[in-house]
Amino acid sequence: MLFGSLSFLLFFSIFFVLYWLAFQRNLKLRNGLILLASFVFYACWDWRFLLLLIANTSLAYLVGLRLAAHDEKKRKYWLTFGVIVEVALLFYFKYTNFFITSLIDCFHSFGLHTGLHTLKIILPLGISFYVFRTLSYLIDVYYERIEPETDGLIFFAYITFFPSMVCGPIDRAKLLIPQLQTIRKFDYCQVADGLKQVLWGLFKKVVVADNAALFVNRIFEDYHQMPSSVLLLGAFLFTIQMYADFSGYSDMAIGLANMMGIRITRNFRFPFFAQNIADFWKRWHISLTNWLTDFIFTPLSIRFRDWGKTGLILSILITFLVSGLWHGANWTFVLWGLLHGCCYIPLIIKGSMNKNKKLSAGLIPTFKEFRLMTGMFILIMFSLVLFRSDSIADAYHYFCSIFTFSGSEIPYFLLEKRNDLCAVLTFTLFFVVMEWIHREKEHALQLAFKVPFWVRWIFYYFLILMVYVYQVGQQAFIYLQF
Amino acid sequence: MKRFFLRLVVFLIPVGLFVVFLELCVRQMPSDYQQKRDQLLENADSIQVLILGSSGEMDGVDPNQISLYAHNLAFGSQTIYYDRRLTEKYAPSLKNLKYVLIDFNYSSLASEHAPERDFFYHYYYGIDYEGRKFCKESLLQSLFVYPSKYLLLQIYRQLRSPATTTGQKGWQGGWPDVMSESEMELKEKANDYYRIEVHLIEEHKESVLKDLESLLLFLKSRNIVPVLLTPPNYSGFRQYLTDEKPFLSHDSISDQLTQKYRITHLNYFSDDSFEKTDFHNYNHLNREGAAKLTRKIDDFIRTCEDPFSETK
Repeated sequence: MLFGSLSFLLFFSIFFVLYWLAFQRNLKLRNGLILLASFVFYACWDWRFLLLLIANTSLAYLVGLRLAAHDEKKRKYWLTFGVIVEVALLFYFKYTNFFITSLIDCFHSFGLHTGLHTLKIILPLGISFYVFRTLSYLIDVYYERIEPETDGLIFFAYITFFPSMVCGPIDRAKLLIPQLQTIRKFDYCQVADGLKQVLWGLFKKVVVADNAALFVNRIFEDYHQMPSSVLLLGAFLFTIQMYADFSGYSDMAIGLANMMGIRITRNFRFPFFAQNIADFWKRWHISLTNWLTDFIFTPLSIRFRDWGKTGLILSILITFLVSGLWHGANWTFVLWGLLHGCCYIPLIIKGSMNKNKKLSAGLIPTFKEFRLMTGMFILIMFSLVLFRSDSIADAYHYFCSIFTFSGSEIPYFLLEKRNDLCAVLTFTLFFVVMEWIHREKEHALQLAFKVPFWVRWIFYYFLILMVYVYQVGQQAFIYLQF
Repeated sequence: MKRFFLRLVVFLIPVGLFVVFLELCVRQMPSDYQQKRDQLLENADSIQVLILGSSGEMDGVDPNQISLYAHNLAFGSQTIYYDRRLTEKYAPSLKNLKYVLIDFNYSSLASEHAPERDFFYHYYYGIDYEGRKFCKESLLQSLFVYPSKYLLLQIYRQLRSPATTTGQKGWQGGWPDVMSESEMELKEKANDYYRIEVHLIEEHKESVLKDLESLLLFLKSRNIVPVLLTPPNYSGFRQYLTDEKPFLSHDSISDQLTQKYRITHLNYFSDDSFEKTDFHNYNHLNREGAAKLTRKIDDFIRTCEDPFSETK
């Protein structure tokens, strides 16, 4: 049941009416409804893994309660136990085969045969997200940043909160649990704004990302037969697809939560307007960046503080190594993470890593901003070739093919679909301009100009019509695989 | 809260009206599936030749060029799965049916059925694909059956000039234009042909062959002559099909079937008498080409009807 599908629309409509009309005053019933809806939502993907989700959440709940004990030794023991279980769960489902194949390849390169085989393991949906959510809860409780949640219903509703369970944002307990503990009042502005954000997310996903994917898939599939210009186009379109897909999902998740009267973590702050790598990661997948900063980078930088800038560089590299591995069990992701980590080194040396980059207020960017944003976009675009490739060898050949400047003939499939390509590029331009104009807002449909309501409505109808016209069948979100 | 729900309802009214408008248009649009079925039932007593298959036959075999009364029941992407079930359903009411042309293209064995077309067989012919249910499609065809761009274009055309699409005998008139693909496009299509079609043979072979053999047995049991048909492909395209393996494997299946069931396989795949001007694209004939191919098929039928007559 994908966001944006008609089955989800029906599901959420029923939920929404029950949530606000039937269970208006009873907090327990309302949280119970959230939990039930989350279970139904998850079971629609694969009901078998619902049991795993329940077991994992129950364990985290019990460990959380144990962490409230006064005995420091016991608390440490329980934290270690909780963290090991969570990491082991993630390791087993996500990385077992990666390590087995890496081991086989390693031995094979020395001419040895291990007799090892990969296992048939299905990756449970959203495991990377809910494990990180659970881990942050346990660590926060241990360091007494938050109180352990004693109400099982609220805790379960927090971990399994369906708008953000399978694809983020990775909400922290201190943000979400207090909201689940209080009766939510219907706020017209918040709910209407949530609806608009859902529409904008849907537009980005269906009209931009899914249509760009048609070209991206084809180009990356047959990259060895494509001329350099088309490979560049493929890398460009994948960057657009990636952002529109993931931020589209996040917009929908945040919008849906807003419609329930709940504010969740903002996940994107228009990353195409970033002017350096540090600025980019403050704008891209913000909830993951915050998580990694709090639980990996900060502890490491404290540990390595005596080493000065070298310690900082080491901390950054390790953090991005984890970030890469979190994204997927493949060396391409590891290299992608390390590459981003390396891009921080000049900033660390210059001492400008934590400097906030503010954008000018004008309608068009200054030349310097434009230059830096373009440079940043190109860097991200090339690094995402690694992200999209099946192996490092594929990525290497893709890069080589780009820089050999080979071929000039435009492939037939591009000529055949030139109208669709023009549409994708036009909509990309449209959404980038919309986001630039609204860069100080939460999302692009918080319209910057005062316009009569009927003009706004016509604009919304236009977006809905585009979603209808440019739908290309249900395409799964890229981040669902993580 | 009331204000929100009220405004939401008001906002959704035009959206709802638009969907109702689309649905009404869809229900009134003439459909090839419906027209071919109606014509089949109307002329059930006359039909002697039934043409099955996919787009290659739909636009490549003109029933008007066949000396016996023929009816074209081929549709785009129609697989042997549906060929078999359509025949089993309608052949008993076609009392004079003598010949059935069955598509046996090199990609036939590879054909994955097109799920987006399943609904039409359910709705117009009462044939369900492996027990698939069509509740939402039956309720809202405009949203669940037709691709939106295609639907809007069809509605636009229909509003401009309401017209039926299918002529007599299930013949839609064929393609009027001549192919214009460049060498590069042909090369790319040849790569696709291997990648998408021919290499899928092994995956689907078993189920397709099961359906095909059931169809042959059914026709044999009713004394109807099944004829396997492979329409021609453009020679400029064929030159890029350099890997012969899949074709040899396919030919051996054809040999086995023709020997086992004593049937004929009219294989025009590499027939060089079809020139560039006969094609709409690399593997589809245009109107002229269709007439040429159908005359060749008719020669065969006439020979069968009267083995001692002289054919061209």
